[in-house]
Amino acid sequence: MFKYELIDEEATTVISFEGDLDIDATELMEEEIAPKLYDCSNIKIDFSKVQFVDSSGIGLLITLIHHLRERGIRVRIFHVSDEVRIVFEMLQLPDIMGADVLPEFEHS
Amino acid sequence: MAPQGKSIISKGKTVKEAVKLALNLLNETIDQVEIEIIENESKGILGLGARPAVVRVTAGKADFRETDPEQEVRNLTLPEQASIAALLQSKQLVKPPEPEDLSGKVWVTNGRIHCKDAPDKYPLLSPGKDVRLYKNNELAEKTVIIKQSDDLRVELEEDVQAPEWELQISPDKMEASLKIVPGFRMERKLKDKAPDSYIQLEIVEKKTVVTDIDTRQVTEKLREIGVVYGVDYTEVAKACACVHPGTFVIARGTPPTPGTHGHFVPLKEVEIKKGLKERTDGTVDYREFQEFPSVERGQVLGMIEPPVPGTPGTTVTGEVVVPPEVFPLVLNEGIGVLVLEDGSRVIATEAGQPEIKLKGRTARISVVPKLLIGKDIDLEVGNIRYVGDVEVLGSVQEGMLVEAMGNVWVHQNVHSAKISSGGSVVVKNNIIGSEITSGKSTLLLAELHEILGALIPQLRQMEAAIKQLQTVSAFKVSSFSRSGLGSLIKILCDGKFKSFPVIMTSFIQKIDSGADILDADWLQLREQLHKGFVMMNASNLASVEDFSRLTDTVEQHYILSRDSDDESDCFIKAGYVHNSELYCSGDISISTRGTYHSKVRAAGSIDVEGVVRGGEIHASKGVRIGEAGTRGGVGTKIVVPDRETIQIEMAMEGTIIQVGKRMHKFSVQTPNVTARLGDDGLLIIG
Repeated sequence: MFKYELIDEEATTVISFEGDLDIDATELMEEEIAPKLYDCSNIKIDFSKVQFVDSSGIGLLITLIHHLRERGIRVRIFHVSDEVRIVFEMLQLPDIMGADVLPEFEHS
Repeated sequence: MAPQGKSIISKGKTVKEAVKLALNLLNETIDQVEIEIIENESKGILGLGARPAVVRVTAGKADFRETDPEQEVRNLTLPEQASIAALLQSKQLVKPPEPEDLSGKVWVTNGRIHCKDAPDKYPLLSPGKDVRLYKNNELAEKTVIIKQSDDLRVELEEDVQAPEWELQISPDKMEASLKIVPGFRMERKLKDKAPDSYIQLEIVEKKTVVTDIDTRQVTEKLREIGVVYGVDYTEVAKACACVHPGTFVIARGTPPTPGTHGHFVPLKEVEIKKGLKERTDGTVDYREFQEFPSVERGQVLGMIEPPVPGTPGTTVTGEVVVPPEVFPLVLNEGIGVLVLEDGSRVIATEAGQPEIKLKGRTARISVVPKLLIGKDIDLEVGNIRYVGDVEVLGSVQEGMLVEAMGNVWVHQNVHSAKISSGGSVVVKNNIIGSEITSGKSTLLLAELHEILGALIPQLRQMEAAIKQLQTVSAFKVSSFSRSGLGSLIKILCDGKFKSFPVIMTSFIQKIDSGADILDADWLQLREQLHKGFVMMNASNLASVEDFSRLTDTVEQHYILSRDSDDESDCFIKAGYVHNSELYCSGDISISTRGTYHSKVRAAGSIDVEGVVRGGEIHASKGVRIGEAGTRGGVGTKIVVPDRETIQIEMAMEGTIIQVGKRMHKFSVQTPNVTARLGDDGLLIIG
């Protein structure tokens, strides 16, 4: 079950994902999360509570980040767990999303 | 009776035999000689390392009772079997020197050391290089003082290497060979030294080659390992007596004589003769059309010869070797032919051009009909689509299309039109603003092959990436069964495999462009790839196994497309080419009037006698051009792969040539250009 929590800290919006970012997260992501984020200007995504991902979930994330950046919104993803990080690196997500989205990956 | 001291070394199968031989030679009886057994006979194992007995027989029996063994210098290096008599060989054999000379002196004679004491002098003896001298059983490393009562002995080694031989049967059992390494005997003895107060011992060596291999043992061994056929006994004897190491083929089998497969023997000239003649003015000689063969109805095209089996051979081990199997010709009757009831002859039922395609043991024989159009192809005649050859006595006019499975001959011009031929294309005069394709399916297959060559490594890497990802615990593999691989492939294409969709698209477009001439399995492959990779989000690939299977299919097509060279005999021949595109799976040749602003591409060679002004020339097998480029005009580019050569009689300034990946632009007008890559991969222009 995928959940999220949204906290506004002054100019920055922090959204924490929790659960598996997979195909079951599609509806929530597309219909709830995305619209809420389009009005922000600076977003931090906390990934610490995401343990599992699948290709659909990553596809959703790529699309979300892409749409946000198109709107000039600054997005960064933090606290990626080691295992998920391996998946991100194998799929070259820093290259696809933009290196600044994944500041923790700069050395990879 | 032999003079006393005469000694003979003799060899025999046994000691007894060797002694007997020596006694005969010395003309002595056994009680009149000293016998020293140098070596007992040895039977060896399986004929290997067998050695004869060696004895030394010396005339004149020693009377050792008169000799004090203590004072005798003995050579103890003799083999254990040596008789005691030999060990204590008589002092009488040594010729006694003059007594007055000998006091305080040492000497060596017949391999023995002697000395005579003197009250005022001691003889000195030095062991010398490689000599192990024992004085009273102690090894003397330096010069020693000796006296008569000393026990002096010298250890001398005798090296004996028995001849070695080995039999080998070749893997195909068609040859048995005998490998020989002759043995040798290295005998060493002390060099004689004249009496002196000091001497240094020296050794003389004598090497004898031992070659006596028993041929009977060899032939026995041959039988033992099963060699029963084709043995050359003269060669066995020669090998056994050989003094140099070597390998002798001593048995040869008889190889089978291969038969012939069933085949087709044409009675009628069926090959298209190339190298069409031209008149000196550059126009194509009309008679060239005679060089395309043709047959009448009812004519015998050729005979079908049945297979002829070969004769079996025999190995050296007596096994029968069956010759390769022969097969009858598989005849694939094409259009316009009939086979006689007894299957021996092929008869034309239509008039036209005979066409014989051989692939392995299958022959496809057909008579391709010819469509003759006595005038121009224009709107009135309409576009031509024909299964055979097409001959147009006039021109192909603007906007018209000629599509022929066979050859296309146009006696006049092709103007703003399109000709697509499964065979060759000859245009007697001009090709202007047109598109000409010859050997279309071959060309297409070659292009598909090239694209697949780029696609396959990407597919394999992608497969490996997916497999790797499946091993990461944070990655949910279970989702594949619900959503398929589509979303993952999409991500991979966004990341590591950015060029993949481009290659895939070009492959699918290439297939679409030739959908009418490609086999159904290519169209099927196109559908599979389209469903798997183009409509990514709806990809029908549900597992990495699906992915592997599809990649395997792609690889099969890659191999399939490489092997097809059915129509490489196609050619394009034209008088003059302007603003056109020419593609040919074989060679292209253009007369003295040349090409202008045209793209000319051949899987064979390109030969333009005249000028090439502007445009591009691509040939897989070399280019010859009269004159290339324009003065300060449009660029002209000539490209061949590495290993091929570009020859230009006159290259104008600005002409670009490319061999493999190396390019060169001429900055000045250059005559007699020959360009190719050197061994270092750099362009050589001469």
